[in-house]
Amino acid sequence: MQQRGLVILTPIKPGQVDVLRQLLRSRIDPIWDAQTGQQICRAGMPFDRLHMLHFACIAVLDEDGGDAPMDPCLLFEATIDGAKGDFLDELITLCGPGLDLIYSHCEGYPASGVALPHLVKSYLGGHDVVPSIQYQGHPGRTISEIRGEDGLRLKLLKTLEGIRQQTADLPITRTEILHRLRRAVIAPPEDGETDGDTRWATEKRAEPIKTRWGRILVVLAAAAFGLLVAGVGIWVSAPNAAEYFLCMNQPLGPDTGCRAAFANNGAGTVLVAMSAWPFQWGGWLLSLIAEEGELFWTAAAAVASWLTARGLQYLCETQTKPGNAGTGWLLLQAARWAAVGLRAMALVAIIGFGLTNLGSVQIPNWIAYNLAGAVLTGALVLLVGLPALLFLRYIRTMPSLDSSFGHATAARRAWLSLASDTLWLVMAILTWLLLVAANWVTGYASHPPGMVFMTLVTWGVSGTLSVLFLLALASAAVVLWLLSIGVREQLFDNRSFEDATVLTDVAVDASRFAREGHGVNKVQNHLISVSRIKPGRLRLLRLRFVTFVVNQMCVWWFTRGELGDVRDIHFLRWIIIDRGRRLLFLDTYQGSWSGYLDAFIDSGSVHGLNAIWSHTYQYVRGVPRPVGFPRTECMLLKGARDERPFKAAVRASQKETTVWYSAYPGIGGVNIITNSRIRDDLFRPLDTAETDRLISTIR
Amino acid sequence: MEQVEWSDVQGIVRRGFGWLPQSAFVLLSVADPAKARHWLSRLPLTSGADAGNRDAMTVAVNVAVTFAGLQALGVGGTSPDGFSREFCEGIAPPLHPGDQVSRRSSMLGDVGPNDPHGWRWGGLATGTAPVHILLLVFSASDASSDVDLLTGPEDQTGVAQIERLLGWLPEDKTEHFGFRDGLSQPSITGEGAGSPLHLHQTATGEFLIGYRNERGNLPVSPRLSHDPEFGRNGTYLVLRELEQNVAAFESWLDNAATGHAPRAGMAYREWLAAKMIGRWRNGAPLTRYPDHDQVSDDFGLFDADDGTRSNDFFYHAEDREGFRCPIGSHIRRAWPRDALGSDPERALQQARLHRLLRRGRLFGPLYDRDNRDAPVNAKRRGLYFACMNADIASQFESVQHNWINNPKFSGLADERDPLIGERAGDSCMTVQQSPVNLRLRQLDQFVVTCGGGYFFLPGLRAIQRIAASNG
Repeated sequence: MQQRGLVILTPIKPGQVDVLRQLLRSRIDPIWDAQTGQQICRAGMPFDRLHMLHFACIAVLDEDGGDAPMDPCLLFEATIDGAKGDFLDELITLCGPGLDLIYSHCEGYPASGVALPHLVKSYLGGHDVVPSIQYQGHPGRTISEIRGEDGLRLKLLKTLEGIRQQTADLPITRTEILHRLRRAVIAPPEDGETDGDTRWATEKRAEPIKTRWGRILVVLAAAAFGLLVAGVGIWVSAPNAAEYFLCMNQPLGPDTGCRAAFANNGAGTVLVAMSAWPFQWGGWLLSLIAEEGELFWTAAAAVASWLTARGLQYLCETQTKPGNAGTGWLLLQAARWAAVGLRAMALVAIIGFGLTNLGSVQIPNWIAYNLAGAVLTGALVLLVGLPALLFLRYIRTMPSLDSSFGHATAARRAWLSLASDTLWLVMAILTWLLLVAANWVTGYASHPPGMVFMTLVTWGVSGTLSVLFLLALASAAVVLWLLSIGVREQLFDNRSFEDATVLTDVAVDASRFAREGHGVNKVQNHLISVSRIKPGRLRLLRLRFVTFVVNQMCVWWFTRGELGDVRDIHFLRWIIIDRGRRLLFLDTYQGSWSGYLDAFIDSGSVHGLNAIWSHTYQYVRGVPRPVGFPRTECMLLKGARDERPFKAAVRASQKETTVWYSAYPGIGGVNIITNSRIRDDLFRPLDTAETDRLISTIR
Repeated sequence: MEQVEWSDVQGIVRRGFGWLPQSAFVLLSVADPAKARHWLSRLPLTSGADAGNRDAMTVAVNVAVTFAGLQALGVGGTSPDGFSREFCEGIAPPLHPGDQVSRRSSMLGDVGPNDPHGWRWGGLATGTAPVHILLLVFSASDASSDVDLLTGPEDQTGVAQIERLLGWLPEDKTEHFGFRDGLSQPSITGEGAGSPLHLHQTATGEFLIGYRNERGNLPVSPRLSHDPEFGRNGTYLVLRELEQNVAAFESWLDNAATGHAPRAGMAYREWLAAKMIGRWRNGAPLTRYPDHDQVSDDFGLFDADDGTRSNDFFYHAEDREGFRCPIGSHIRRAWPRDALGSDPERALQQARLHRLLRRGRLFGPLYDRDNRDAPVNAKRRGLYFACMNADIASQFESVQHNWINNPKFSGLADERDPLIGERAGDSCMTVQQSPVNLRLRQLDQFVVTCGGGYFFLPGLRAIQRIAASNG
């Protein structure tokens, strides 16, 4: 089962910050019983009765110092197994009094409190911000699995000790030990023993798909892209092939002196031809439209009707306010569904139209000669367009892009979904146009025998090369532009921000992190950091792009319990809040604060850390100017490697974790992975070395 | 290797003064700031340059101060000004209202019997005088009389003696549990035992302020208002009084060896003790010499040894699973070399960032193993643990917290250092063995902390600056 994170940010009523903080400390924060090693939850907020809850944290985020301080808000972070809706239901049912107590200090909370649970649920759900980056250190492990596997380890440990005592000096074979371990797991519990039943451990652990296949998929996608590029490279380097496809591209006749020109000046002609391709494509499309006018007018009409229907749907969505009822609302919903239906019909029309018209132009030729080219062209379009689409989808599912408090995000969401749907349509049309154009040109060109193979690859290659050439041109310009922006940003930063080394001298209020390292936080610790994002629209866009890339890596690649080389993380989140002006960092990790940051600084993940945090700065009491993050080179290097200023910067940006709960406080992230591995290995066939390793890992 | 300005560095950084076996660590408080400053300026301090030639030396004197001491001398302001936070708060900071134990004490494992409320000096026991100055005197014959010479009556020198910690160093460099100690030391300049080994070459800035550390950065230097270079050639000194309960150690080993025949039982005891420490009694490391038979008696002393036998070993290649030197054993915890994580290169690089330069001395008479009931065995004995580092949080505290007292060290589940770790409930240690691990249970409290402090060991010029300041 997938773990999810809930991050609920609600504004606090003015003047109630201290009261709320005191309340959280004295009446909500669970008490740690050192004797039993358990957390005792308070009456109003029984976290331990929420069976889906891994970690919960409640804190007050406010700022001291600086201009335009953030409105203080209450943070409620929860990591859960299962659906958010179910969790909120359970939370409201079981922790109602506590919620009322806390949220009565927040703005917008329904005055009726949990007496009307659906209102509270929509309030909390509406203030949930989706993180820009989420990393899970042990993905797919539910609470019962984590606890159970630790109990399993203890049971196996006891069994091993029993074996050792029994067989003090007699040698015992590994297979026999393994058998006894397995039997201990399968054995039904003794009478009276309630939690000794470990028979569930014989089942194979359910791994989420992304954990199991994520890396393989990434590798396959990279290989496919690599093959495509390699194919292009091979093709270009074979001079005959280049000549053929260059000259094939001339419409209405194969030989227009192109071959002669190529024979004289090979490479130059390639470049000239490459630059001419986009215009040639354009020319062909236009002549196609002129020739087969009806084809295109019908298509245009279908597209226009799709756009109209989609626009109508957008209007209906933005006009709908949640919680409304009545005839006006009913009419809006009816209009919205009508628009959805129209849109579906228009889409069907476009597809059907496309299919029939593809076929109407030289059916046998199309199948014989253009399938490979069409597939290549389509693959190319997908590979280029897919990242753009993923990015858009990511933006679309992230109301926090512009997260402000309240329900205003619905309009933004509607707008973004409109943009992404339109992009889908544009891509579909583009693909179809390319296919049609490719087919049409072949239909008119002659096909001497022996050129079949050339034709097959030509269209894919020419399309690829056109796009690549355009991209290269564009990239050069973009790179220069970005560099200039980078230089300007650097100058701005040097002017406006103090160097981070001043932070090492500033006294920091130690009570903010007084809970670290002892009591319930002996093994697991929590870190909240709020910093401001440096001004500049482009900088914000770049930050969003960086967070997008890092998030994709966390989802698809870092699924085995390590982020770079850092293994001590339970759950980690980065969230852009306050309308793109602040960066919130939430981290539940194993070990001490300084040991954990050291692990980051000395590993490869420091580059990702630098890339994200180099966009931030903060105001610190005692320093007149704002202080930037330790200076980075090229956004990736140095930065956090300067360990004293970096640690001082983290301390300065850190907020107090006032309330913290953990469903398994004594179990660290590394242990969870080891326990899972023990369970996985126990019931599968093992050879001698693996058996040895398994037995020695049980400790 | 940077050139170290040894004439400005106090001698204890360069040498442990092993040829001066008697020592006295004197805890002083400042009664009269002006007189105390004058007294400081007149102390015959031994520099690193002096420590380089040992022949003429019969006594060595070094001095260190606490943050409270700097303030009492009228020098330090109330703000840190470049001094590390740990130094300013002290090793046993007072508790916040409502707390049972301070965060630092919890991190260092100073809980239960080690709690600062029970310390004989430097802690939170009622009536404890605050320590301001630490005078380190090393002498060939009688340190106590040398101390008397150096300090005088309070109204003359302006300092009052709180406690005089007399220590000594046995010839064979063993400590009270019977194990050879001080073998693994980092080397700053390529001098000293073990120094040719590249393994132990450590950047100067890890132990001296004003030089670059392993990461290539300059550690933050303490400053005074009129002297930005105050911290140069200085370092932070951590002193802890560790009382060793040798009787408990011996009886625990006896219990563990019950059921074995007498001769086999002796060998088993030795083997168990070695597994807990990570070395045999004579210092041979388990990783290289896993069987006692390989360790013959004339393996003997390692003074002349350049460290290749005693200290040139790695864990990853030879002993990854811990079958020779257990993963939770004392020396593996105190310095894991390349054992942490899957990449030995990176692990070694990271482990280098947390080294300590140790200069300990024993106190109390040796335990008489042959005659358990001898009256000498009832006396207090233990170790004055002294180490130097440029960054207390990242070195001393990190070693205590992330390695020694970490129940999750190196992938273990729930065990701490068997020798000096914090005890809680049933303290265990796993000895990795094939086919089944051996689990040692019910480890007693063998070592108790009874005093401690964070000190700053200034350079010689800095001491003159203290003296010259007007307060």
